[in-house]
Amino acid sequence: MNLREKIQNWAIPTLAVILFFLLWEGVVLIFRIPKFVLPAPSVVFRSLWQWGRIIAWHSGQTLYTTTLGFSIAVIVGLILGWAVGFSAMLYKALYPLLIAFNSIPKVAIVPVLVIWFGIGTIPALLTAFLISFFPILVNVATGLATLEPELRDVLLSLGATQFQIFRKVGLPRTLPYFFGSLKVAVTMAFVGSVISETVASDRGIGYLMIAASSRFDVPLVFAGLLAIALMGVSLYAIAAVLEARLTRWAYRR
Amino acid sequence: MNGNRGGHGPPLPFMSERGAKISFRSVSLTYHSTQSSTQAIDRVSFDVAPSTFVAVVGPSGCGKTTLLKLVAGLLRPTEGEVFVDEEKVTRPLKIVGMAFQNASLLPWRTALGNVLLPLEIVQPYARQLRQKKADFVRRAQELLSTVGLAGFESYYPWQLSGGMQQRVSLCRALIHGPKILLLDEPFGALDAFTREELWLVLQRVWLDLGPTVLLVTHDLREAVFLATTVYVMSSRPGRIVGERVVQFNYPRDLELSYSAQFTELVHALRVNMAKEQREDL
Repeated sequence: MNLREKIQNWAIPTLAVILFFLLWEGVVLIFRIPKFVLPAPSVVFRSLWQWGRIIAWHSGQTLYTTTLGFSIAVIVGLILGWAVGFSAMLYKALYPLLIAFNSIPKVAIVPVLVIWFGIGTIPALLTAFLISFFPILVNVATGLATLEPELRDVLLSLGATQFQIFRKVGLPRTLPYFFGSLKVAVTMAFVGSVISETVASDRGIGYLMIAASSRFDVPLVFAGLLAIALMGVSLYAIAAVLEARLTRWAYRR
Repeated sequence: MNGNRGGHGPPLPFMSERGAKISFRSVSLTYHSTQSSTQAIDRVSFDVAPSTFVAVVGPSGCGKTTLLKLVAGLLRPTEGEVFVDEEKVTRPLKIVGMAFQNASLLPWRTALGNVLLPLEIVQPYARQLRQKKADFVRRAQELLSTVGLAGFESYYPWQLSGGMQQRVSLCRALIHGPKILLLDEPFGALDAFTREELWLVLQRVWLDLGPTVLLVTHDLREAVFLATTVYVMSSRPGRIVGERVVQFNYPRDLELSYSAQFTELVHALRVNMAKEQREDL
C-alpha cells in the first residue's frame, strides 16, 4: 500500500468522523441546546471518561451476549441456509414459516423470553440470535439456489452425489454471500441484545442507558450510544477483514 | 481415421483407447410442467459410430441440448431408448465429458484446479487422488499445454479471456479420459477468430485422444469443418430432417473452409434448414 492509498484508507474516514463531531459540537453551541436534550460531544466524552469503568463493564456484558448470540446465529443460519438452498422441498416447506417469523418485531418476543428465562443474559443473547440469523440464512440459501445449472450438470454427468456437488461447488460458492451477510448480521445482533437489555435486564449497555435516562443523565445515555457504535464498528471491521481474506476470488484481487 | 494418433508422444495411461458408440432409437422427450407440456424432440433415431465426430445443427430451441442430456443420462426419454455401447442409458455414465457455451468454471479455483475437478469425483481417480496427485497434476498440465495454455495453470478464470476459459472447460471435459465428449455450442459466445482457432484445438484433441464427439451448434461452418457426419434438426419438436456425410480428410485446416466444396456443403445444409422452417409456417 503506498502513501496515497494509506491516506485515502485512513485519513479521510478519520477526518470525516472528526468533522461529524465538530459539526455536532457547533450545532449545540450555536443553537444553545441544553444538555438534557442533546449534549455536545465534549460533554459526552467527559461523561464517558467519568463513568469509564462502569460503561466498560456493561459494554463487556453487551459484547458477550451479542457475540454469543451472533455465533449461534452463524451456526443456525449456515445450516438452515444450506438446507433451504439445497433442497427445493425444504425451501417450500420452511420459507413461509421463516418469513412469518422474521416479520415479528423481536422486541415483542422479549417479554416471552423473560417469562421463560428470567431477566438478564439469556433473553439478550437469544434476541441477538433471533434478529441476526435471518440475513445469514437468506444469503446462504441464495448463494446455493443460484448455482449455475450447467455446473450442476457437469458434476451430475460425472456421477457426483448431491453431497459432492454441495462440497465441491455449493459450499465454496456460498462463502461470499455468507461473509456479506455477516456484516449486516453482526450489527443487527447489537440491535437485538440492546433492545432486550433496555426492556428487561439488570446489566448491559441497554440497561445502563435506561437507568441513566431515568435520572435525566442524558450525557451518559449518549456515552452508552457511543460505546455501542464503537463495538458495532469493531465487529463489522473484523467481519470485513475475514471476508476479504477468505473470499478473495469473489473480489478479483 | 485416427491414424495420426500418438504424434504427441506415448499415449497417456488415462486415455480411453476408443470412443463409445451412441444410438438413439426413436427417442421422444416431452417436458412436463404444471401448466403445460412441451415436446422437445420427436422420434429421433441415429447412430454415432465409435470415435467419430457428429454435429447436430438446428434452429435455437429445437431440443439439441436435450439430445446431449439424454446421452449424459441427465434426462430419461419419454419414449424410445438411448444406448451407449449397446447398453441402455438409465443414469449418468461417468464416461462422458461435457462443455457448454459458457465455460462455467469454478471462480475460486485456478485453471489447474478446475481441470482436476472431475478426478476428485470419478472413480477410480477420486480414490487414488492422495497418492497419485503428482501424476494427475502432470496430466492436467499436459492437457492444458495441448490446448495452448501452458504457463496459465495458476491463473484464475477471471484472469483468462473467454477463449482461454473455454479451453480450460474443454480440458475439464477431457481429463478423466471420457469415451464420449458432449459439446453444447461450446464456441457460441466467442468472436470469429477465437472460434476458428478453437476448432483446430478441438480437432487436435479429438484426433489425439479419440473420444466419440457429439457437438450441437447452430454454426453450420463449424459443423462442416469439424464433423464426420452432420445431422439437421427441425424446430421444436426436434426431428432429424437431414443427414450429410462430410468427406474431407483430417486434419482439416482453415484454408478448407474457403474452398468451393466446403461452401457448397454449408449452403446445402442451410437450404435444408430453410426448407424445414418454411414448411413449419
